[in-house]
Amino acid sequence: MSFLTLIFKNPFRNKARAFLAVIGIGIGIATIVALGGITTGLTQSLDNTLHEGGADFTVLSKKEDSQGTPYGTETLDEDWLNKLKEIPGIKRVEGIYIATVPVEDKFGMVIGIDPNNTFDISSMDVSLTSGQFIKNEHEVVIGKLKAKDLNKKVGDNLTIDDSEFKIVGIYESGDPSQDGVMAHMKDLQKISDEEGKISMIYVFADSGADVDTITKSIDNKYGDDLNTITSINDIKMVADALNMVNGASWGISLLAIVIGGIGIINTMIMSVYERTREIGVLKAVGWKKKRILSMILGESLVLTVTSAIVGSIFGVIAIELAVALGILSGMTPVFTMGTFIQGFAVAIIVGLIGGLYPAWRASRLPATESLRYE
Amino acid sequence: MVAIVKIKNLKKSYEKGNIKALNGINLEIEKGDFVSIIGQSGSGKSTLLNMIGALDTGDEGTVEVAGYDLTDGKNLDVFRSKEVGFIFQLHNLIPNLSVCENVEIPMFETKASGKERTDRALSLLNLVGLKEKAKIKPTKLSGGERQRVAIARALANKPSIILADEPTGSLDSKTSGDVLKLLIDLHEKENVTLIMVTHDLNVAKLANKQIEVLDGQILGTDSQK
Repeated sequence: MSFLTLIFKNPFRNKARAFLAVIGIGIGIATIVALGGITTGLTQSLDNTLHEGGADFTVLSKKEDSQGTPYGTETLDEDWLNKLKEIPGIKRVEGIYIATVPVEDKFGMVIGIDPNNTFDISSMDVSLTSGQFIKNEHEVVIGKLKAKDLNKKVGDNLTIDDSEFKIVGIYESGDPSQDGVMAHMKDLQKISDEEGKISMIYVFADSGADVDTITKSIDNKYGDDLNTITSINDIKMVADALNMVNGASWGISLLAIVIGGIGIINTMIMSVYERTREIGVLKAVGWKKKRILSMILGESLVLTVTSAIVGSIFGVIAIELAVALGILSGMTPVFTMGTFIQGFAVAIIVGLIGGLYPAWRASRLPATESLRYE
Repeated sequence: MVAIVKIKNLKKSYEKGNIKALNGINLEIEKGDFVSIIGQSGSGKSTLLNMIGALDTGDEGTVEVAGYDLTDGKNLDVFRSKEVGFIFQLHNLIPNLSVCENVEIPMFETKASGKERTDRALSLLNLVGLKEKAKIKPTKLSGGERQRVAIARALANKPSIILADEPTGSLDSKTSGDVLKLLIDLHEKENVTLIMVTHDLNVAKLANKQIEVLDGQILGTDSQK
């Protein structure tokens, strides 16, 4: 038997207590992992929206004043497409028009695209599950979730603001904002009475061109009218919201450290208390204080690292279950190594903080008194 | 003969001097001897044993055991690991570890590898007649068997001295006799000094020498053999 085997065996002597300790800390870790998965998923999803089809950056109306959504609530004239094309380093530009309009009996977001000048669908984070993409006016494609929600299939009609459109395809996407409806841009502009207007422009730079230089020249030339967005951090509202979720995640981590730490101190003190005579025996057979301290501290770490493993698994399962049940509106959670490292770091900190005092106490127990302990 | 235990004017008191557990003990025990310490409850016999085993230190006087000066309270853990094997009235085995693992416990402070520890533990269990029960938990053993495991654990680091505090105190007379026979056999076979605290005169008489303690002082020494 190695010393490590002994450390692994001891925490699970009292199975009920170990189980409760693991569950207590595990819930904190699961929350950290779940929130991390949602935040990263949300960030990547928004980032994908800004760089749809491989766009290098997005241009919005200056009226958004960096406060709006990444979808552009203020519109721009279509003329801007031609003006931007003339900027050196820009390979091509593509505009889309987004509107919230009545779809069947509910308001929903519809993305208007120009099928003659649109993205290569294969490069988008969108794939057709049936049918084809829009080719003409009065045609729409709808997201898989939307189709399920409205009980529609390819060939059915879809009512948008009292007009009938033919569903030519069904697509799926990891981005909840896109799992809606895509229509011909001209149709959507007409419905919204905004002909010739677009919501945002995707800019594709020449290969090898410096994106920073291009955005700077747009800012210099058209800075009064246009706003260039290279990352979601350029959109204050979105960045604030993500910062808030991140802050909440760290807040939960801190709470997990405090609550988990107290739980572990309690568990380990109880364990040391119950094993007083045993610790006396270990001293009697010549164990050094340092070894007794390492053993108790190690046992505390075994409990918290087990909690991190259990919590991580449950965190992932819970979020995947929420996705499967449609609770997260088609959002794709992304679990990065960083999220799991954060969870395990919290577990290790809790193990060290929570185990230190009981370990110190155990190492200082007087041998004779410990051996007399009833 | 060489004295393995040399105690001079050892004093120990508790509760701010109100309880004098040891009151000027002078004692020498020869290497390889079997000594019993007898006395009534509270006479100071267990305190004396704890001082010899470096589980506690005195207030006054000097204690030297197996060449280690235990008076200054330094390196007591090294001394306990290398020179002493303890046997308690209650076996004090760790319930979640197997019999073999319990015997390995003292060897963690030595340089022995995992395999060496296991081999040594198995050979000691063979010596006490419990090799076939090496893998089971102590909770499944009888009282006598548990005490035999405790004896094997006490011998783990080849100590020069075994300190037994009422080793048969919680056993029936038949089992008690078996455990004592094993202890005496091992003392002779391993040439280890055996110091045993007991309040049972019949048990004490098995030793070469009896030391009677009363009120923290040695009343007298009686050599039997």
